[in-house]
Amino acid sequence: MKKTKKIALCGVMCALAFAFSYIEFLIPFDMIGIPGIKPGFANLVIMAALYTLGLPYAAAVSAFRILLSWLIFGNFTSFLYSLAGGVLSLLLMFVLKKYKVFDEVGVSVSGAVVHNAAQLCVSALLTSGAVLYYMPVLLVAGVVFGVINGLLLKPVIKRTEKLFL
Amino acid sequence: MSFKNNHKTVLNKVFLIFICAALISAPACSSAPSLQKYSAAFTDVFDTVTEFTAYCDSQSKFDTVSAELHAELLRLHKLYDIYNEYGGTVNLAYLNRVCGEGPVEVGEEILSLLKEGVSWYRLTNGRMNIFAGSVLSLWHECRENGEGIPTEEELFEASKHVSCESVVIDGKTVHFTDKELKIDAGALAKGHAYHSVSLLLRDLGVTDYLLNLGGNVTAEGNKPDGKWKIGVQDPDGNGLYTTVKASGVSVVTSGDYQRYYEYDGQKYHHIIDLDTLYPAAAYRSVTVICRNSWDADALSTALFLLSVEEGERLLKQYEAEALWIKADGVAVRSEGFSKYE
Amino acid sequence: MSKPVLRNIILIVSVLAVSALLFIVFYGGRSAGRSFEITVNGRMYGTYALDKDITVDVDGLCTVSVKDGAVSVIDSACSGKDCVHHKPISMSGERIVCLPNGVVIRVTGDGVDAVI
Repeated sequence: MKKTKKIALCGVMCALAFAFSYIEFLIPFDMIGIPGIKPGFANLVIMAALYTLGLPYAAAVSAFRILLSWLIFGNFTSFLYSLAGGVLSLLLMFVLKKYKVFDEVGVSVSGAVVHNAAQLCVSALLTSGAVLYYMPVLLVAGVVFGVINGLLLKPVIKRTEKLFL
Repeated sequence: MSFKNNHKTVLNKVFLIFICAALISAPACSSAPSLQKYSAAFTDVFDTVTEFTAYCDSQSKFDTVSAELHAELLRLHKLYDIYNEYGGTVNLAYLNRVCGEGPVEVGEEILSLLKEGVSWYRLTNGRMNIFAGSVLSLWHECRENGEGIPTEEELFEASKHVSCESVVIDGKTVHFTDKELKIDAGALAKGHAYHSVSLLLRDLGVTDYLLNLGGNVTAEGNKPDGKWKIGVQDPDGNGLYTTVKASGVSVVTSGDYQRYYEYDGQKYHHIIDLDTLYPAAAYRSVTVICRNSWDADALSTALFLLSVEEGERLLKQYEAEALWIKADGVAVRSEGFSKYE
Repeated sequence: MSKPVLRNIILIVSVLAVSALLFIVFYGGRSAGRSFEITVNGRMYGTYALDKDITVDVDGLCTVSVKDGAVSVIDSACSGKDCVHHKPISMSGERIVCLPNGVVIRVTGDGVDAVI
């Protein structure tokens, strides 16, 4: 793929990742009274970037999404959580993909679980551990949405490659 | 089966039903109208949350009691307020302003508070001192702002004006011979306020209640299912350290987690050691159980400022028990404390 | 079963096992609570009974309501409103946390009447 094409695709993905963040902000996904749980479709876009464009572009998409969410929704604590979750999950997904430890589903689940765990650890640091009790709920949510995103990831990669490569 | 036998079975059944009905209805008829638990919380007195829990026979009775209690607490809050004056009342803020000028006549309640302050000063060689307002106000100001600490010079200068010898009590008049001396009765005010409140509640006919004046709990009477249970917080915030069963006693905790602020990564709490002029560092919390509410209140602060050995001597004198949670997390109990746990 | 699928299953099962373990650690051995406490930025704001329906205004930060023995946040001045969306809590040790406001609501159990 030409570099210009890659940059263009990256731009589209940035917009898409932010759009998903925005939709998840507008529609509260707190099912059965569990707050703070989101399907994380933005992560689906970031994973697609990781698989089709590589780590630097995926990092750019993730960073853009986190920064823009901060600037637009204006919540610094949320920014810290997103940053911790985004950086750790992307690095882990990159390693797992590179050394072929898991397929798309496994990478997606690992990323989602680590993303949630890292966010909660940051908030535990800020609230002297009062929120850690929430960890099991977030881990299970990470597995559920990780599987869904992982299953979606394969066709998404296929179509992205078909359209842009 | 004969008719006779059948007849007997029916009679047996009727008899059984009758017995059951009697057993069920007897306690209901014999006992007094059942008491209900009610509670109220006030946030506008003594700069803390005050909770009042009582067993009453009706909501309206509780509401009347609770309203009278609230009015009395507001009156006492104003009386012992050292920051605001309320036109006309001779309260501590007023005394702090004018007692340096000459003798001022004060009411019975303030007089007894001041005398109590003098005797605690003598008893603890000035460690427990309600006349140290000049030093405490420097810390209070920083705590209110949530930042900064008083400078060494400020503290040292203020510490020259905390001697109880400068307080002259003559009959019903009070005079400070040191114009810079200020009262801060935080260590005694709630215990004294409770004394007035207990008289009011007794007159209103309330015998079973629990009053929590922000860490200063007095339990009178019992709950229908036994003694009142008071949880003592773990200073690190991990739930309860222990629970105390109380009836007819005051349980008071002085803890570094009750009032504090953080500055430069350091926590500064509200109980100041007048030797170092900094927050006392030996304990995380001290819990005192004592029959008399004002002794319990004063003891919890005094013990926070004294060594365990000195504290134990005071406890014997006042027939009180205590639980110290030291700075390193180790707990020390006085001889009889565990019989309340 | 292909190798990647087997690995995925191992991953999912182990994460779920860790969740179950944490769940037991955090929620194990709990009884129905009878009171709850509110702290604001780590400072005790108040302890309230759970057996009476009341509404508490927490310093204008949020409004806490008790209904049928369970406590929930019905309004909050924070941006995310996660605390408002949290299900009502009633078990000893359960918590609702509002991070932006620094408000923690925790159910205390074993019939404790006051916490000092």
